[in-house]
Amino acid sequence: MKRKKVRITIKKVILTLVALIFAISFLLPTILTIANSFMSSTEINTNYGVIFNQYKETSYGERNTDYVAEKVNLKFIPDMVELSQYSTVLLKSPEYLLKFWNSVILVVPIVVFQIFIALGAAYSFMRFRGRIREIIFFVYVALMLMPYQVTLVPNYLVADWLHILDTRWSIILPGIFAPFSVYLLTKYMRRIPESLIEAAKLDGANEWQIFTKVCIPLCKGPIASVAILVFIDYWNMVEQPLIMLSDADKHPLSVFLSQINSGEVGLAFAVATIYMVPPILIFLYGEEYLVDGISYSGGVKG
Amino acid sequence: MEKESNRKHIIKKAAVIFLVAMLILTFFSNTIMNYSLPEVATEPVTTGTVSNKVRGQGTVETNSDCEVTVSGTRVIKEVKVEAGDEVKKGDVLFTFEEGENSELDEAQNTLDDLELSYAKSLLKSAPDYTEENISIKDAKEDLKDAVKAQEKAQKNDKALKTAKSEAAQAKNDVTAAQANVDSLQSRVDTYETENTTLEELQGKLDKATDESKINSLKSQISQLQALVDSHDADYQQAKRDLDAAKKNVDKLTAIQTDKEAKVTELSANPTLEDAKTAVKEKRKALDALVRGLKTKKKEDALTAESDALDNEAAQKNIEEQKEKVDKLKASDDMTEVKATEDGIVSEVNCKEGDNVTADAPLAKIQLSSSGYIVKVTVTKAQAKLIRTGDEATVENIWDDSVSATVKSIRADTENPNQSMIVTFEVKGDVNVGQTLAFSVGERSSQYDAVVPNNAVREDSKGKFVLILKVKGTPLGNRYTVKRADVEVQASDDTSSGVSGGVYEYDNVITNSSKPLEEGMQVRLVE
Repeated sequence: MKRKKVRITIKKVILTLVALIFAISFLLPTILTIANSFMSSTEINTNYGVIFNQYKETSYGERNTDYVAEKVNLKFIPDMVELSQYSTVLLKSPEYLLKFWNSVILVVPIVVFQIFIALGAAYSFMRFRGRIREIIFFVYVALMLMPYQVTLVPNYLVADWLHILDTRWSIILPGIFAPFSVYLLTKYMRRIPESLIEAAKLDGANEWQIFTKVCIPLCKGPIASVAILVFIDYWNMVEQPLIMLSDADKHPLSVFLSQINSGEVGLAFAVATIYMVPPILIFLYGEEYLVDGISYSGGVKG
Repeated sequence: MEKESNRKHIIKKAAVIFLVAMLILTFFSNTIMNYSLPEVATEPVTTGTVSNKVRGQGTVETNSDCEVTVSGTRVIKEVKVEAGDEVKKGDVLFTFEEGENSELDEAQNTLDDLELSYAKSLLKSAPDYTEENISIKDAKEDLKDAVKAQEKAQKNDKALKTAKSEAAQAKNDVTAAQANVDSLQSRVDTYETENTTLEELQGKLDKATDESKINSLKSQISQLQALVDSHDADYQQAKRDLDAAKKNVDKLTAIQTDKEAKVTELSANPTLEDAKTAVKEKRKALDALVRGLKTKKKEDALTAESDALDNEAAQKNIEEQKEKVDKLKASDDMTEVKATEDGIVSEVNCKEGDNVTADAPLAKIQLSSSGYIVKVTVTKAQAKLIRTGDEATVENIWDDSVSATVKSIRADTENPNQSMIVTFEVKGDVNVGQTLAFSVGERSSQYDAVVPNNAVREDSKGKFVLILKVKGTPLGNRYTVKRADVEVQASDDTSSGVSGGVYEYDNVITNSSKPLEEGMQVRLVE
């Protein structure tokens, strides 16, 4: 008996340690980003400049005179805690703030309308069964599984045909009709017991009432989790704006972040930290929906 | 559950705060940037030539000129030359109207006036003091009188004192005599009372019938009679004495009245004090008059002296005026002005019919025999680069027919702190009035980096320029300042050739809205 207990304890300790190591390694980049955002630009150049050295040459072939360490010197604790990165980003870079709003302008309509569309689609998939529906749903899933790059060219061509290239619609429209949330919500709605809908019908409810009064309230959790997932997905998009929007003024922050190494290394960490704030807040807000929604879709029967 | 909703509440608040903060920052972003970043103006670095040459231009003049003037006011009849004409010595320049020399008339009038006033000034009367002397004499007499009055008053004073004591004595005498009269009177009265009593008793006796009473009365009468009889002699005597005493009193009273009248009379005369004051006043008045006379005499002496000087001056004036008049008379018959030297007329200041005044320049003649010069104004700094005798290049004449050398460098009288006037001596085929451009000084040379002068700054470490570094970022261009130490190799009015950390196509900062430091982020002026 005792030996068994000890064995269980040891097993627990080992498992916890392993989990801890994983957790730390996942969190490390985030912690590094936040910690380094308090460094001064020069310090960052000194520690990580070697990575970006090919960009540090001026047009005269003259080397930057700043000291740059020969190896990347990963540091968690700044030599001098400074807010200069933040002040540069927030006070001296109007472009940065505008790009932040670009992100917001692109992502918020996508999230809102995608949920509306997806709810309607998912309800239809639940309510009306048949062969055609199965085929359409299969196409949806197939589309969802394809990487974005595959649909990129058709997307571009369609946008060109619609004359919405270089406008935000070229991002927002494809975003609204994305299949992912349709799939997730359909999967969940199918788990709503038939008896509930039958009962509603018996009470004299029509389809609209069943949809609004029964389905949507039951789907609150999945809607929230889908919203969070979609938000994070589109908040981090890079390819769509890069390809659809040639005007850099309309690019969201995510594009800028992807290009950060070309000249703005000193600000990268502060920029990234601020960029992290909205997803973190949203995640914290809908944490339990997200966990529930994903676990339901993972196969728990309703 | 409550904890959960509380947490959500906090997150909601945080999200709102974050978004609002971002909104506000976005709204004010340009404002904040404009406030926090200095604004700079830049100019590109070029290759080019910089020379320490001084450049300037001016018009050709002759080395010296003379002004044509005339003595006396005249009316011009004809102007025979105009600006630019070449004249020879003896050429007639102007002719005048005849006989209208108002200057001479005026001068003659002035002379007459001067002479008249001189004559008048000589006529002035000598100083006269009769009036003052008479006053002094009078004052002296007054003083004398006052002194006499004083003496008199002194005497009067003494007499008054005596009279007063006498009057007092007389009063005493009268009082004593009156007392005597009173005592005698009382004696006489006593005796008379006795007599009266006796007569009454006699009357009673005559009327009395009663024996005893008669007897008693008789005895009383006899007694009284006896007393009266005994006193009778005394009574008589007393009566006589009384009369005498009364007479005496009257006499003494008369004397007293007399004395008192005298005192009153004497008291009415002026007192000694008054007399003394009067004397003092008179003496003062006399002194004042004497002093006044003295002062007046002194003043008159001074006036006389200055008058003498005035006269001398007036005499001189008259002589001068006489000379002038003579001169004017001599020139009165001059009807034309001739050129005194060969040259070129550069200015004519009058036209036909003008009234010209004496010594006003009618025309300027540049003397051709003296050679040609050009005056050029330069700054003081430029003037330092030039030396007298330096060969100057004439830049707007391409052949070698004209040469110039620096003749003199003088301060500009109109602006002595900042500019200098350089005079070039020009030889060769030039004309008066032609504009020549000169350059003088070191030869210019080529420099790899030429920057505007205002881009070159200096501090304790030496001279430097601030270069604008452009960093292309995904957010747009960022401009920062980089310091480059340089050595200024040559500089002229506007730019400097430098060597050091500056290369062609660099942008150097010429102006900034705030002091700049190495590494500072800046924005470009729009």
